[in-house]
Amino acid sequence: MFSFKNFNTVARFESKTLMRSWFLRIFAIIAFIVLIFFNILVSQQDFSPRVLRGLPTNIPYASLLIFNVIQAVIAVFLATDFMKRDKKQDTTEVIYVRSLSNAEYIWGKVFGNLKVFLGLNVLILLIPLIFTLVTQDMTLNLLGYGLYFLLISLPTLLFIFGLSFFLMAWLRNQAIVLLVLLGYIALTLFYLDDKLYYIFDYMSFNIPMIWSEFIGLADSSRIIMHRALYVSLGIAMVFLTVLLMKRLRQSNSAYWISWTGGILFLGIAVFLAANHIEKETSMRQFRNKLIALNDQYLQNNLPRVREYDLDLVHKGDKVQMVAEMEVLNPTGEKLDSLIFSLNPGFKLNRCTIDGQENGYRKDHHLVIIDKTLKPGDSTNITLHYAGRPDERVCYLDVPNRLLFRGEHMILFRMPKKFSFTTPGYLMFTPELLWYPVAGTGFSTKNVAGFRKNFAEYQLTVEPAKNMTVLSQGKAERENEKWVFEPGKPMTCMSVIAGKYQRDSLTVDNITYNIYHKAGHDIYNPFFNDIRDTIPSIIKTVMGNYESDLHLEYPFENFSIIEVPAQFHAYKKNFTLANEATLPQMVLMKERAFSLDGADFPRSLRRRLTRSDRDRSAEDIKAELFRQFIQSNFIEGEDFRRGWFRAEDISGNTKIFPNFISYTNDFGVKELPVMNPVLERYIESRSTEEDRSRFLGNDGVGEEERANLLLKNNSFAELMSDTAHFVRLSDVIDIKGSYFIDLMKHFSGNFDFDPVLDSFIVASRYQNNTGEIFLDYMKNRYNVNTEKYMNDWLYSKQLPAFEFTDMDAYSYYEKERPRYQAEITITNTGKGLGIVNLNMRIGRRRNSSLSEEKTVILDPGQSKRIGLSVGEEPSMLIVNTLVSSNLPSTLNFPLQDIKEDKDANGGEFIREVEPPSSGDEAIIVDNEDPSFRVLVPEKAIKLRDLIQNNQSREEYTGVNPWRPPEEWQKAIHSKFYGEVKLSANYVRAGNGEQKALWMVPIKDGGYYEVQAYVSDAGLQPQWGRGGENNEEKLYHYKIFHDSGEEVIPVNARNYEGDWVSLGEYYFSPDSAKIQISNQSKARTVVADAVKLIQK
Amino acid sequence: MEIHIDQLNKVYNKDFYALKDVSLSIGNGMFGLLGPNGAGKSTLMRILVTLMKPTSGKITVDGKNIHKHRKEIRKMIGYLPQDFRFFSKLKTWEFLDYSAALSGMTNNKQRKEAVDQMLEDVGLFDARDRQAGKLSGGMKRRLGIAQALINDPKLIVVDEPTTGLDPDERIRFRNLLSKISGEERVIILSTHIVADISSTCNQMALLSQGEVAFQGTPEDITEKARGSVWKVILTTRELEKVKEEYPVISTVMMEKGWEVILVADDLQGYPGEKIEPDLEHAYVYFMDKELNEFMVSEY
Repeated sequence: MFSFKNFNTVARFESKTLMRSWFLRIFAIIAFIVLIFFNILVSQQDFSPRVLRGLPTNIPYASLLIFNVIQAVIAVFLATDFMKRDKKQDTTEVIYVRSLSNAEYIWGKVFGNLKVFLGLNVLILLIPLIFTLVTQDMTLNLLGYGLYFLLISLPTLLFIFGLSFFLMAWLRNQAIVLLVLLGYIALTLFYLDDKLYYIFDYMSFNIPMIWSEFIGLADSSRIIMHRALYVSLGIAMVFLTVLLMKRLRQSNSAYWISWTGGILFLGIAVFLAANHIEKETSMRQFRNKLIALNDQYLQNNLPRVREYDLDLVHKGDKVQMVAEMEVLNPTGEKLDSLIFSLNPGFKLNRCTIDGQENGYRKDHHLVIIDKTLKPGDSTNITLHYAGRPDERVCYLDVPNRLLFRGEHMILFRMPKKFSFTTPGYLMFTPELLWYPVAGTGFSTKNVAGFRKNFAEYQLTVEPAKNMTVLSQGKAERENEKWVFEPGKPMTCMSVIAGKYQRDSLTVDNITYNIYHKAGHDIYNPFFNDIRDTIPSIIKTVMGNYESDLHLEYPFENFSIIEVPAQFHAYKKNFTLANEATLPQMVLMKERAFSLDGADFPRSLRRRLTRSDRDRSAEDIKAELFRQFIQSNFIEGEDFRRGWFRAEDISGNTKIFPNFISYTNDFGVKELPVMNPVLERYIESRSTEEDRSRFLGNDGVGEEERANLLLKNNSFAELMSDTAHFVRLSDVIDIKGSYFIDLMKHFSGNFDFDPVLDSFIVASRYQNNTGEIFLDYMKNRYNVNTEKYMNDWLYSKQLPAFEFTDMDAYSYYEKERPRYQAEITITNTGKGLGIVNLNMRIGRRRNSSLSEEKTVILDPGQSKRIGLSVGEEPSMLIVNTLVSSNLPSTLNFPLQDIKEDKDANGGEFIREVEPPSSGDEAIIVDNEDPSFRVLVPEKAIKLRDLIQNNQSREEYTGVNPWRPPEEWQKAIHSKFYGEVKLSANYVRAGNGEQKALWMVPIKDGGYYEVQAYVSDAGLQPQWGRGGENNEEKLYHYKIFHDSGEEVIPVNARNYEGDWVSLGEYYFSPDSAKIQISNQSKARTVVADAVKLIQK
Repeated sequence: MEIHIDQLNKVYNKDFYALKDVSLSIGNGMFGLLGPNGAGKSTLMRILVTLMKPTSGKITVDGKNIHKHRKEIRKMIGYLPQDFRFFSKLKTWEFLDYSAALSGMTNNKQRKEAVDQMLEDVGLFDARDRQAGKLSGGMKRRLGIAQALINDPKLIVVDEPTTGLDPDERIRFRNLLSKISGEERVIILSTHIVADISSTCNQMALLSQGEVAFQGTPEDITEKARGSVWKVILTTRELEKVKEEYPVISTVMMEKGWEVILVADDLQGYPGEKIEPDLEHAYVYFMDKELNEFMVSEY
């Protein structure tokens, strides 16, 4: 039998020995110091990120996360060291001869080590506890301390001790075991990361475990199973260590129990792992199935729901619902069946039509009702369903690997929940499909998803006890029920139920509400003494915003609703609306924990002691309030899709969608792209000028990537192809700007906006008004909008702009100096071109942009444009919008502007003859077909294997610090090009990489050979001058009739110049110029060559 | 208490015999196991204390098969290995306490008393609070024997216990072992230091290349060397020549020349006298004559 006395004895002395280890003591001291500093930073420093302490449980969470990583490494060292001591038989033989079983010994050792580390964890947790208690504006939640101790520390330690002991017992070499374990730790931290939903994350460093005071953990069963997996593995490996121990066993029963225990816990671990993986893979399969079904049942002609009467009863973690719909056939075709999308987690119990039972099928999320509806006819359909909604139906357009991946927030990974169904809290947003929606959503054939539909809604909710229900419109109470009737047609409806407290005030007939959980009021305590001022602040902010947008807020209510911390909303390509900004409400995360602007007391303190010492606290509070609502609800963050970047962004609490996205539908029949185009244009009225242009545009940015896509695909093709979905937002941006500029051009700049604004107001709450708008434009301005729309959607032909005859001078007008910039622009492409020009006035931080001038150029057309400003400009900026130009925006520096006494200047646009090409020189650029790169055969590199044949981008920006090892096309304003300012560049080497220009010449004779050389900032700054210049040589080899000549050129000396390489005799079609990467410079650039006949 | 070892073999790599057909009977008292380095003494010790399994053969302790009754046997064992290092971070009394607890002394008070008594017995009471890593060589060895004796074992195995000890410590050690050998227990002392056996053991065995070369009393083996141990005075040149011809046990520089003690059946050509052999003489004689293992003495 297992002797607990022996077990305790071994554990006791293991603990003693460990606690006296200097390694552990030093580690503990360092850990304490680090954590104390960390907690000082978090709790005491005003500038510390709010996200670390915005939720009370985040502080112990963060502390343990930091400590756990270090202790995992230390535990490995100590565990292997202890086993190494066992290997030294002289020390342990005196123990081995004692009458104790191997199991008692090993388990005693494990427990002894575990005790010490767990004790250390408890002590570490005292640090944030103490700091929280002594810091004024921090809230204590003891639950977090226990929770994260159990979820983070215990499983990590048990696993790492088990693994360390097992590997030592098996491999019996501390060095090798350390290598394996440390490598494993590094692998899990830096590479395995979130693979298969964090299954390798034994340290729980990445798995999202934020605790919400609304609902607790986001997916508690999954997290508990994940941690149990590592507990089981740890226990299994300890059992296996017992079996591997090199000591003659004395207990057969302990031996067999160890076998059984090892297999059992290994089995449990495997089961839990398989379950975890299955959940992830089945999620992907399930969503793919939903998308396939959407494709299968996609219909062009859809019914429309005119009215919804929804009845919801909240029962614990489920709901019961009755959805009555008045359904119309608005098309000219008969509908043989009616298809609706409904959350697949619900079980559909009944379907009645006009009171009679009716046949239906439910296939996952699709409800197919056997009902024929003639054009113009309507019917009343009632669906009875119940259950717990399934979140997997949300955001079918988001890649599966990203959908639930934790979002980085400083130390944490934020879990993503799209809905909540718990006994104490309920939240359903439209994305959940909690009520039936006509038609099918996102699929490969329908990337735009559901069409907008304005309908009348009535919602009746019977919540759980003592819960406040929130939805669109004003609430009426009928006994236990809450009834909502927005009073206006809505595109969607949401419902939230929880234990909320409310604060509200009315300004200009709009009632502003804040709903928060009890104890989560971060506003009143701080702003109470300026309560009288708040209405005027709101009035000013809202008034300014309405003025910027030229639109009034269309509803009577606006609510800020606090929601659980794990709530997440993704942005969408085809609208600026999102689930965090719903009609009449924004959903703000718990305690506004992720918003630094919500750190009111600290912001006040900071200002009083530093920047605003002379102002009163009330003044500053008013300013903080204004900034808070301005930055979170007015400016917000960039709405556009960002998940192709490293992190997708949540938040999205901008109020803007309430002004247009939820009130208007500009959809055109086949393509709903007009919605995002017009929404973005209206929204841009309120944003500050884009200063990014000031930085120049070298390299490949969003506009360039969008144009590269448009080079080979029409807009319509891109919108229909999910392969390009992630870049679609950028394409919509530039195509949208193009469209607006075109409309402005036809309507005249000053007429377009008022016309648009009137149309927006007049067409509110109506479906598919895009075609009406286009017809209106056509008739009002006599424009062939169909042709322009057709080209805009379906044409693959792009304009291409060449810029010549740049000139800048100053002159006097009525004795006041003015500055003129002129340029000739030629559209050498085949598509209609639009360019926007403006000038940068002033330098750097104090610079601003002049008024933008839009110029339209037909294919082949040339225009000379003049711009005039009253202050000295530093740059002319030309944005080519949709074009073949790379980069898309060009900056022409304006330096040393001289006075032209004879000039009159002034703004103008004149059509001119296209400039002559000049026949004397033959130029071969790297973009031409007679340029090619010669790449040697190379062995397959590990990097290629890892990259797994992923295709490289056609163009990149230049990277002087990590140049590519093979020739790569790059964009830079200093490179040569008529339309594409590109060159090929490569890391310097021993000459194995070559580039060749084959220059076509008709007549033999003597030619001067020139090369276009620009270092484009590719060479490091040092080494200028003197003998070091020799290291920056390019070597051009000219193949001529008399042989070959190698000409060195110091690239350092040129920033975009033609450099003569000498005169040579060439026979027809024999001129070849080659450059290799042999150079002591860091990179070599192959751009263009020119031959001038002599 | 009786230990019977019957045809014990320990083979490594299929052809190297660390122990070959070892058969011994060991009764109560001190039993000395003598032999050169690599003879197999430690291997035999480790098998006896259940740290290692033999390849074949049988060992019974008090009638119990050592490997079938490992649990019971281990309760009887006290073991001091050859190169004994401690859990250096534990204090002297803690380490003894650890051993005592693992030996089955669960009563805290009883265990404390036993530990204190043992520390007194081995002369370490004053150093009880010192960390084991900070003890001198002799003190460490005393602690080693203390942990071996703490549970009042019936079978005590000490392997090379006096190596590296100064004469005082060595004598102390032997006295300690002798003191407890009178009781009903077996003490097996494995050593290559002959004096340890001669002063304490009433039974002994000589192991050489894994085999038992001799089993009996020290007197028996000493008797074998009677008449074959010589003392002779030699010049330096003669000494060099004698070293090549005979096993030399000792050489001491005297006024008259080198006083040499050597082993020979017949000493030809040198004026020597026969002396009374002791165990060391007998050991050399036995190794040379009986086992043909010529020992080169370098003194």
